[in-house]
Amino acid sequence: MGSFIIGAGTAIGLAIGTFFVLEFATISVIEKSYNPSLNLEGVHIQYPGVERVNPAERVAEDEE
Amino acid sequence: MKTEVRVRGKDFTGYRIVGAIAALLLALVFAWQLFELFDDDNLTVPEVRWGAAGDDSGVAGVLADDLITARSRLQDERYRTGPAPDGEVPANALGNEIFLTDEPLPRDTTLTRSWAMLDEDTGQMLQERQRVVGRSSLPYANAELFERPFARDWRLGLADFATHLGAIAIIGFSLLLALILAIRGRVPILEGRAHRTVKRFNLFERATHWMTSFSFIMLAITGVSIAYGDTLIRPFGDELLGATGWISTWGHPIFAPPFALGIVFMAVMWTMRNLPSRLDLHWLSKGGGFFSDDGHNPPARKFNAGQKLIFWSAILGGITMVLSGLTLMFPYYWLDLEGMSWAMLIHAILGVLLIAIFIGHIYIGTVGMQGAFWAMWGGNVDRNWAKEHHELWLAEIEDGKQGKA
Amino acid sequence: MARVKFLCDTDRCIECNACATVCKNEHEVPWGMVRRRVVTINDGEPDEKSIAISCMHCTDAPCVAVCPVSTLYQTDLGIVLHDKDTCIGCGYCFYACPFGAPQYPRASLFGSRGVMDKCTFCAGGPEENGSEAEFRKYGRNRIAEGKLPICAEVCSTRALLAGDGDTIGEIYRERVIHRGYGAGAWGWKTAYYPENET
Ligand code: HEM
Repeated sequence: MGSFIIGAGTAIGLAIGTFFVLEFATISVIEKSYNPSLNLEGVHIQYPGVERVNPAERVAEDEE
Repeated sequence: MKTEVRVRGKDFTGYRIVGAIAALLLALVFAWQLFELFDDDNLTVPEVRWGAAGDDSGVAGVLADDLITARSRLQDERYRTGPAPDGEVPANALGNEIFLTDEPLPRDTTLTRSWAMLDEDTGQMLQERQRVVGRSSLPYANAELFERPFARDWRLGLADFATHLGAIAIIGFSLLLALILAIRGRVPILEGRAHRTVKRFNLFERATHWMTSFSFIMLAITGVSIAYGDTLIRPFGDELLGATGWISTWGHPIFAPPFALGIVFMAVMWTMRNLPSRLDLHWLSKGGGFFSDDGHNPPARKFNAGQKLIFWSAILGGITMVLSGLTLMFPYYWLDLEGMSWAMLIHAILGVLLIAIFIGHIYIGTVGMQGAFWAMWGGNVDRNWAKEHHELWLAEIEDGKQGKA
Repeated sequence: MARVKFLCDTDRCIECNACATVCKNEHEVPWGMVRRRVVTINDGEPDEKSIAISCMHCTDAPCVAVCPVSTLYQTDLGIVLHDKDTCIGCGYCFYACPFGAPQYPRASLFGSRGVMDKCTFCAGGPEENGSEAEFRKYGRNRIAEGKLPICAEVCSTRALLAGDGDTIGEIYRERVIHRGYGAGAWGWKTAYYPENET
């Protein structure tokens, strides 16, 4: 009885922990892929020089 | 060892009646699944029909057919179709009016079959079926793929092999167990309880076992409701299917870490005692003494050959499931589409097999064998149980104690 | 009844990628996904060929068969559509697709891949045809307007043909007879004639 509660409890605890980690990771990845200045659609793999593709942000940085 | 037989499997009348009822129900489900295997619904059929939009559009009666075919002709050579403005312009060529609506279509395979029929003209212009991968200037994962006929085999592998045969394996094995319970009854403690117990598993072992088994059962439930949701849950409504679908897609991966951890702990704790030995051959050749109550159970140490098989399917199967599952959670990290397809197939087929195997384990651990459950629940087993099923192990620990004393 | 198909004439495709671009624009396809791509095979060799590829809207579509939540469905024109409200992002359709058509918001989501997106043959989705909700999820519904997919209608060399399979097949055959050669209909055997063994 005690062993079952300890075991199942640990399993649920770990699962909930994993849930938060996964959700955090997924949300940040989705945000990243919907943000045009962060999502380079893979271009940066082919052209390592490219880091920002959103022209608006590039202008903002140039003015600084 | 010759034991005096006081309890027989046949004496558990209540259990046997329940087993018989379960067997009857399972037999019905099994027959239905066999029928599903051979009926003709594995062909994809259209479920929606295009029709003319309401009268207010002014073109009621115009069929999708006419619209699409007339418009298709415009793609002919330019000297025939335009772009000269004085050419024939179909009524709907300009503007954004809605001409077509869609409505449900009853299940019927004739359209699909007629589409698949090849006429001679078309037959002559077909390319060979082959895998074609080139290059693409578009920077997306997998953009360079044109064609992979393997995908159609994958579909057979998943829909027929994993899903259909998997269901048959799970239900068929459960049916077998229910029949065994009905006919043979439980595996008894032949001499009856001694009411003296011996320690079998410590708290850490038991907690590990329950952590792993709880995770496994959660993984199995969520996995089954993804794989069989269409059959099991859809009859209760599309809404429910959507809800369980989302819960399952999240609930499935989150139980992977406790399961993986449990597998590692089990491997560390129990591998030494589960290495194969010559005793196992003898044990297996006698069927573990499972079917007879004559008091001639073959001798075993702490784990008999059947338990060793369970142990190794948990360890090897568990590791394979965890690895293939992780692969699927991180697409393209170390495998390409082909590799991931295989990972998915292995995950699905091994998953249903492990479910069938562990249904057998749970059966033996609870109703199938008198006295076994307490080994994992409280850690102690009745001494007569130990004597009948693990006599060498019992001798080992009792001699050990005496030696120390 | 018409049965719509795509046919790409590899002897005409010049890899301008207009089809891919116009598709993204017409349907406002989200970042990170493409519904239509152009693949070049034997790049740089004498027999170099380019082919535009998207969902082919297969006969006996494998994606529809493996979908565990019946998100995918086919219409009587042969068009394979999807319902973004029921999709759970399991990825089965993606493994079952012979042409790599299904797309996810990003290939590397962790717990779930997000909701699938793919070519609709410019036919929207289960929402009311031409509605705003439909446009936001699936893009424009040109079929309901009696038009054909924009990728084909925009093709400057008329390499990419879309529409009634018999009609475009006829156009293609006439063309091949006229010019004296033709590589044939790529992918048709896998997509439309699954039961005819090679
Ligand atoms: C509610 C479900 C379960 C019950 C009631 C149960 C019960 C038991 C019992 C009573 C034992 C001890 C047998 C003995 O005395 O030697 C045991 C052992 C074991 N269990 Fe379970 N178990 C369950 C689920 C699982 C699952 C899902 C797994 C796998 C992931 C698993 C893996 C093992 C292993 C590897 C052993 C040790 C080897 C063996 O004895 O067969 N168990 N279980």
